[in-house]
Amino acid sequence: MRGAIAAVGVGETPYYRHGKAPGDETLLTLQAIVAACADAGIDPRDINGFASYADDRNAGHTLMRGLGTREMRWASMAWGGGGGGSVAAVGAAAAAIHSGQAEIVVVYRTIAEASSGRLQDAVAHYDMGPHYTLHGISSPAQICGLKTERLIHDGVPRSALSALVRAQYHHASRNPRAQAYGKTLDAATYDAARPIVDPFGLYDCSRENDVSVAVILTSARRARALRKPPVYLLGVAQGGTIGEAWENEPDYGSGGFEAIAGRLWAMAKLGPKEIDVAQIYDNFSGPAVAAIISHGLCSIEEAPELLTFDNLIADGGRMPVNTSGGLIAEGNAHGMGLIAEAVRQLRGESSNPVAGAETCLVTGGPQTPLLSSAVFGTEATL
Amino acid sequence: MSHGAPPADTVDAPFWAGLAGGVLRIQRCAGCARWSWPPQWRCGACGSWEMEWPEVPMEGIVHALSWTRHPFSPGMVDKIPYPVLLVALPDAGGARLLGLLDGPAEGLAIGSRVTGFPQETPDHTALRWQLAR
Repeated sequence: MRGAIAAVGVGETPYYRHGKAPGDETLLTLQAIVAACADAGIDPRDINGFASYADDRNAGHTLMRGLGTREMRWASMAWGGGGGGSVAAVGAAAAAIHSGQAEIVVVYRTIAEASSGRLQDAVAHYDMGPHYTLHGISSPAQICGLKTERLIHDGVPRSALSALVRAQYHHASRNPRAQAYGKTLDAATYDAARPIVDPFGLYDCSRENDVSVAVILTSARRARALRKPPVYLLGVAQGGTIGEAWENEPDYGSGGFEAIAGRLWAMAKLGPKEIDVAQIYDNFSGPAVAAIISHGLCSIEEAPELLTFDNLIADGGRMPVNTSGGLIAEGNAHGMGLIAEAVRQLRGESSNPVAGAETCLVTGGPQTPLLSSAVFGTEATL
Repeated sequence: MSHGAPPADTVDAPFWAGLAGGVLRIQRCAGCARWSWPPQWRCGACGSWEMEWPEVPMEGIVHALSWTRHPFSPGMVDKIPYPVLLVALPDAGGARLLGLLDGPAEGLAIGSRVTGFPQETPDHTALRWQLAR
């Protein structure tokens, strides 16, 4: 499937503060998908496949009349309550196109508090049974804090968390879509943040937003006839080796991607050294660092030297990460915004372009039973 | 700090029933003697449906710990800051339990030895931990 499927359109609503969207999720979803169609040069009526994840409520059939869908031929959802399945939805869409079940598939995620409640409550409800709630844990932040404390114990320096967050704010400061547009974050301000759950302060935590983001996929053959340069899917993998673990994963601090990454690199026919820029799911800073490490972009031993602000920014960094600002500083579309940024980056449309970037890694939520990640590439990588 | 009682009909019911009786029980496969945590209806390793719940000493080692400093729910307001523990049980194949400390936290760190004890809450018997002497 390497290179056979391409992303051809991205669209989104603004990132509203949670609870502040001017309409319900159906409206936001239609706005994002129609914008993605305009970006691609596709008639919205021609979309015939729908994919999402995280129990998104906006099933394809609820959108058909608004889009004018001629025929829905395929619709599917990646399991899981968190963002682990974001890129798995891309993989499912690609499989549907590659197998001939659908021709033009939109992958999307929509969150509006008025329709679905607080995102953090939805994730907690999905993932946390009584062994969590009866032990003082009611937020994913607390679990991510536990895992990150273990990651730090295992050798990752706290400075890596600070560097990543500040790099993301640097990127967001130049991204007009970002919640943190125009705002950089210096080390002293980061260090002085209101403590949330150790080792996280306020700036280590992602935002909650009302937003919809959509990305359209189709075959490489169709893609070449459309408006913009296709961004090819070189590899995609989903799954996991642990299953539901109640915090019993053998390597507790890990991002968990080791097996996924192995299959990803094999399919993409490249390795972590060939990745030019990465969009790493950053529900919190620590899990994002863990995901960078478990994809092999950097080892724990290399982390102090490699995971620095200068290395993580688009302006000449060795490993630019989250060039839109990510969930922490652009806004939280449950990971879908990272997929849109991967496409923009490889088209040269990012607010923080990485010079000469031909490959982009994008990951779904780390440290979950169902993980997913993908590599996109330009025409030159085929 | 509790949010209701644990359900009585789930695969982990013997864990909560054990605590109600003052003992810690962790699941083990009767077919292959592997510790099984989180508990399962069937041992995926050997295929046995016979799962047992032996009593395990309430002795553990802190595998991870994080202080909660923000009240994520209204019930936390007068509790913060407090440490959440992930405790590994050497006598149960290293099975890990999430838990709360009830006692002095001075010197608490990853690797600390902790001792558990049952504690009555309004709706269930909880397992709490204190630093081992």
